[in-house]
Amino acid sequence: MSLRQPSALGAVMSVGAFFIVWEGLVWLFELPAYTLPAPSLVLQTLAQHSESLLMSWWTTLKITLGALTLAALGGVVIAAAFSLSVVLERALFPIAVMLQVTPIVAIAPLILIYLDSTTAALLLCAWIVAFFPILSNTMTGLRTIDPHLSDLFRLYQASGWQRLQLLRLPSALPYFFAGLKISAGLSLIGAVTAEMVAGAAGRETGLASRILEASFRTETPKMFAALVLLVLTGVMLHLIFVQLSRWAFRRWPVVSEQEI
Amino acid sequence: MLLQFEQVNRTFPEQRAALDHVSFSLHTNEFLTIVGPSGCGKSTLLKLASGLDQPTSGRITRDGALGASGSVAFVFQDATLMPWASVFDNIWLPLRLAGVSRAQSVARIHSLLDVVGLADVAMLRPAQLSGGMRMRVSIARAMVTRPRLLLMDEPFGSLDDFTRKRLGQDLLRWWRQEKMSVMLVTHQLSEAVLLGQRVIAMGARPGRIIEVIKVPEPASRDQEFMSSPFFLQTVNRLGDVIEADSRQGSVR
Repeated sequence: MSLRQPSALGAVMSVGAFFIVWEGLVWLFELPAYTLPAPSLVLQTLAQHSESLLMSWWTTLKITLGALTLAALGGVVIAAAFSLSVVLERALFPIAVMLQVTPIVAIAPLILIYLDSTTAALLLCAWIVAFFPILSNTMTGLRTIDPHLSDLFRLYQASGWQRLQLLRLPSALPYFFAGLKISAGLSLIGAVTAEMVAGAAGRETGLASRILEASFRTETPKMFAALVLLVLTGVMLHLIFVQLSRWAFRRWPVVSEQEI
Repeated sequence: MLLQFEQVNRTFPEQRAALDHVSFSLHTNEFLTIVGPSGCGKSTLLKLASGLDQPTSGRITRDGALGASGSVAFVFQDATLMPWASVFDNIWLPLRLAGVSRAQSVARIHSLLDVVGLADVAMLRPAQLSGGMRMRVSIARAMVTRPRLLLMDEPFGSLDDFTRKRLGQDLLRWWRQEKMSVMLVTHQLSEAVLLGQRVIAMGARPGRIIEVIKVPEPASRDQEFMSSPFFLQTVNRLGDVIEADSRQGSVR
């Protein structure tokens, strides 16, 4: 574990070194801010535009978390339905795969046409990107059952529903969490991508709009400032779900770290 | 008569017969042990007895009492507990599947926890228990429905010798208290003779019965019994019979 997950101190040191080298290079080669702003300037810009950036960040975060919640619900419900009915799985799983393999940037313009509400369109786009890992992981989990426990349920004449509720769903939980971790990052990517396509202006829009706005005016430091917020959000989501799955499985070490 | 096998065959695709013309019967409240080398179809035999598997040919007759859910219980070599559930909830499972509420099960589960000596750990998860304790939970879960037939597939196979001996003695006590028939599969000759009222020795490839030995009652089933001439002779004889059979098998 210590090999795969560098300690917090190590991470802080390497990231710190990265920014120091960056700052130094900008200073050394006297790079103009519109090409590559120094980290100090990015921070300054972030502080300067904190109100509009944070408001946009909040908008993007709401879409991200909303899509992730819907992806978790949808992924589990669909996976459970598939596990109860092979016919349903055969009929609908290909559609899920089609949604998964089509680039979201290509579908987003259509969704924005069909849905009146931009928020709904953004949610749907982010959901399409985010739900698949949860669906496929949960499906795998629902199938990966201790064969002896399965025999036991058969011996005691458990119903299909009891089997799902008491055996398959709990067995799938570690896989669901693994999917959730991947989907958390994906829902952020989906939300920002859809915002880019929507390209709406105004105060009630997400960080993608701030980036687009800044790029039209060649305000490179502001683009970086928005980027910093996105990176921090992604890292934060990842850490939250790593901790959450650790906590959830603290007392059943049957699942190796790798799987979670 | 609780269970009767008549000329039972079980074959699996692309394999030699797992069971070849196996006939025996199990009496009510009998403790039967089955011993043999790996690949002799011991586990297949238990699965057939439980009804989880069906014979390819031959007949298995079951007492009507074995039809109800919970009348047959199974204990596997590994404890096979639900890692996400507490000891209490693991033992509750068979009753829960039969629609018995938690509140209605509490008294039975607590008395069983006392019987198997796990009263203090009812709320712990399996991962927090030792191997021997996990096996106790597994046996308690099997007994919770007051089964008429308890099937055990090398239940002590993965435990250390000390734990194994203690659990064996405990199992004999529980068997007498609970009034059930037990079919226990083991690959240890001494364990088979120590626990069983009758010992069935099986040979491999194909799996079949090569010897049945009755242990005369009353047998004390303790250290004294284990050093008696009968015990030592029986263990030796069983060893010879199984050895001779497997030597023949390698020629066959």
